[in-house]
Amino acid sequence: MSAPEPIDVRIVDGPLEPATEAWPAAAGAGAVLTFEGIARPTEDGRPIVALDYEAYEPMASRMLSRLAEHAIGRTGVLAVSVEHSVGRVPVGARSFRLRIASEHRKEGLAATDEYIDALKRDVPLWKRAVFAP
Amino acid sequence: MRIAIKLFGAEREKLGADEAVVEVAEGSVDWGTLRPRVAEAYPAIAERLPWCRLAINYELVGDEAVITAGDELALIGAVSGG
Repeated sequence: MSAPEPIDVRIVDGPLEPATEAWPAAAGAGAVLTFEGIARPTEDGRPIVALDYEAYEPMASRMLSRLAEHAIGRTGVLAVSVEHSVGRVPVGARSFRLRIASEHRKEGLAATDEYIDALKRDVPLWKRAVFAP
Repeated sequence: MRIAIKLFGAEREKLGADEAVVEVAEGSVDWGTLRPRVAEAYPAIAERLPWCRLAINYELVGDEAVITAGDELALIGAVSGG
């Protein structure tokens, strides 16, 4: 049986389901860090009902993969799994999930922070608030 | 050469269009030269252009990048993933 891929990138239509499936690529890790982005109920102080996400593909997926490769280039990072929504995500639902498996806590935390900073700076993904009527 | 640049996010909303199109006499042109021409043709996004980046064939590029016929271009303004 072949080894599990250390990088998994998915663009998902609509909100993300809770992560319940096992992550074979994390075998051997001492830490698995999971960050989830949730659609907040307000935007600039106004109530919203949802966020509409858009991705410029295939550039967005390519950049998410490249950021994952960069993270794995860090000492001690073993695997990266990224999921990001496109389309409508209701308030309270998940739009983004990043999982990083690492040998130890510190490199995982640093890689998580670096990944999210780069995503918010460079990856062609946009969200637009859908305000309450 | 006809150059079409895909628009997203705030730039698309400002312009009310999915792309900006400019005609240039040259067979190729760099982004540093093209940007002011886009600003002139589309005043609605002119003020935003200095803060936008260009992607050529899905790669972010600098002012020196050369655009040729058949390239896919996208204007990448402020992104908001996550």
